[in-house]
Amino acid sequence: MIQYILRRLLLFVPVIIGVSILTFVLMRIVPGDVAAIALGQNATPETLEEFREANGLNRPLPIQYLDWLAGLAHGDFGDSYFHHSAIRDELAHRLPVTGELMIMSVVITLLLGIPAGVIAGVRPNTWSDYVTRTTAVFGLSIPNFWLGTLLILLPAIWFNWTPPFGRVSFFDEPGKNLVQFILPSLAIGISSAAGVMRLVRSSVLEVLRQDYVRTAWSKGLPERTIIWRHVLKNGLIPVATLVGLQVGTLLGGAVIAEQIFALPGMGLFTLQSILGRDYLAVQAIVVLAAVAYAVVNLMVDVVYVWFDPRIRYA
Amino acid sequence: MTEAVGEALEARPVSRLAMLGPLRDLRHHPLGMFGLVVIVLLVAVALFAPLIAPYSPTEQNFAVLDSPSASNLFGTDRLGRDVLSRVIYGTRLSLGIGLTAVFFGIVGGTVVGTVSGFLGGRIDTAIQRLVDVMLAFPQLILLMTITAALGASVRNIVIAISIGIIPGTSRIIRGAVLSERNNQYVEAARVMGASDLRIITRHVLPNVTATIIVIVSILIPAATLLEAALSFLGLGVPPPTPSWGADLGGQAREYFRTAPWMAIFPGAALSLTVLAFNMLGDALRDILDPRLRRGRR
Repeated sequence: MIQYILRRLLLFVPVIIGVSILTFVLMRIVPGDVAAIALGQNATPETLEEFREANGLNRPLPIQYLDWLAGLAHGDFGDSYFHHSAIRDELAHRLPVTGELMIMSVVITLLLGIPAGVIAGVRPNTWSDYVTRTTAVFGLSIPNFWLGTLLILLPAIWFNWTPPFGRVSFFDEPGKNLVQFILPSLAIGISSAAGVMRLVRSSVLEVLRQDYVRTAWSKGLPERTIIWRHVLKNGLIPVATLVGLQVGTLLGGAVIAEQIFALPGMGLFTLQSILGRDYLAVQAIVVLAAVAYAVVNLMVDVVYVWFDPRIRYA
Repeated sequence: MTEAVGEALEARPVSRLAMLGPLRDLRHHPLGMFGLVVIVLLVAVALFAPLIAPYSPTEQNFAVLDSPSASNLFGTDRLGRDVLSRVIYGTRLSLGIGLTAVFFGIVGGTVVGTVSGFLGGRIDTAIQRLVDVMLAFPQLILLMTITAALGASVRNIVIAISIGIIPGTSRIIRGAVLSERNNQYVEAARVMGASDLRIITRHVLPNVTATIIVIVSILIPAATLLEAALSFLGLGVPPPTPSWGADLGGQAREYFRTAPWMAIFPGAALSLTVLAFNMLGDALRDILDPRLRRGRR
């Protein structure tokens, strides 16, 4: 098992390097001079040149890339041109925000998606099945940025209530923190929940036809036990894969939700960095996102073994 | 067992008649039928936008932030433009970009996937490693970077979304081609002296059609949402082009509290479009995928 994990980790390396090269190239063909954007209107040709020289922007691109890679190996992401600070510090502030957003949206995804899927799958083609399935199609179709907008707008119109914008730490004011995160997490999580619901439904339908479920029925086990112990445990295996694959979608959702709810996280940083031509910041974000994606999907494969002891990794 | 064989046999003619059969079977899928009707209406609205829209979508003809009334059914926006006319013209952009991007993306993905799966060997390995890299990007961030690199215009958004579609599509097509490649009919064609190109276009691709239709049914709503999301973030079509996504983002947001109709109508139009495509897509998948058919009972 350990050997398997190590081998998988080793396989990440070329992918991550590929991702970093691709981002590097993409950011360098972005039109717009980072020096002009960073210095603003007071820039003179001399100060622009000085800025490029100081930040190594005049050197050949392969050298710039290797230099950046060497820094990365030491955990140094370089400095943000836009925020005039070390990107590492910027990330340290922002990662917890997006981390909490991700965790809460996954929790919402599972809390809504799994029970709904079980309800629909256990009694197929009844009214409860139709209602959940139709709701799921709506959930999949509503754009996250419109849902987020409505989640702010409607309470404001109906109850004159607006959520507290910005972000306080969970450890300072847990209540306020949760209120701040619940709406953006809902905005991101609803469509994933709908996806999970459909998968759980078809998975439950599939498992219910298995011989061991029939055996469980004939043993006289109560329905509750059969669903919990036999159906769910096997039916949830594909859900783990789906959630792993949705990490990318959720990260994209974070860009949008952080914009709407003014959460100072990675998503907002991504948007600002791309618009500000902040090469190094974008490179750092994309590499981190790719690492996160790879690690989550490795964790999913490891969790499989716990769900399904028949699976062995050599 | 016999059931499975029966279904496998049944699956063949479906993929042959893939373009016609599913639409006939839609009769038994009321939601899919509903989706199809809505899509036809939306296409009509897009085509005849100048005839349907009461006013120009870009001219600032009216009092700003006027609530819905008889003359402006959906109200006016912060620049005194008619929201209904903007929503109607927005259909053009949304459907146009969604459909064009999916077309190029699916053609690109099919070519790449077929080449990769059919030729195999080193070419396959090289292509698949590149696909790995592209799939490791969060899709929205990849598209944001590409549109930032190319500049915001309708053409560039189509390019960006097509590029975003290619890696995932090519991987699925590759898998389908791999499983077809070793079938006896391919061997038979080869024995008869058919060229690779002929085997691919005349024998392999027709058998992958059902898979391609299923992918398209998932991609169209996804591409529509991506365009709207990019425009929402300010990386999409430049103003004053009417775009549902752009009208929900940017400075307009400051006025939503006083003029909620500015937020409600474009968002509802976008949701309805995506919903219609999802409903039609679900029905098509149900019809085309024998495994789902068994699951439906």
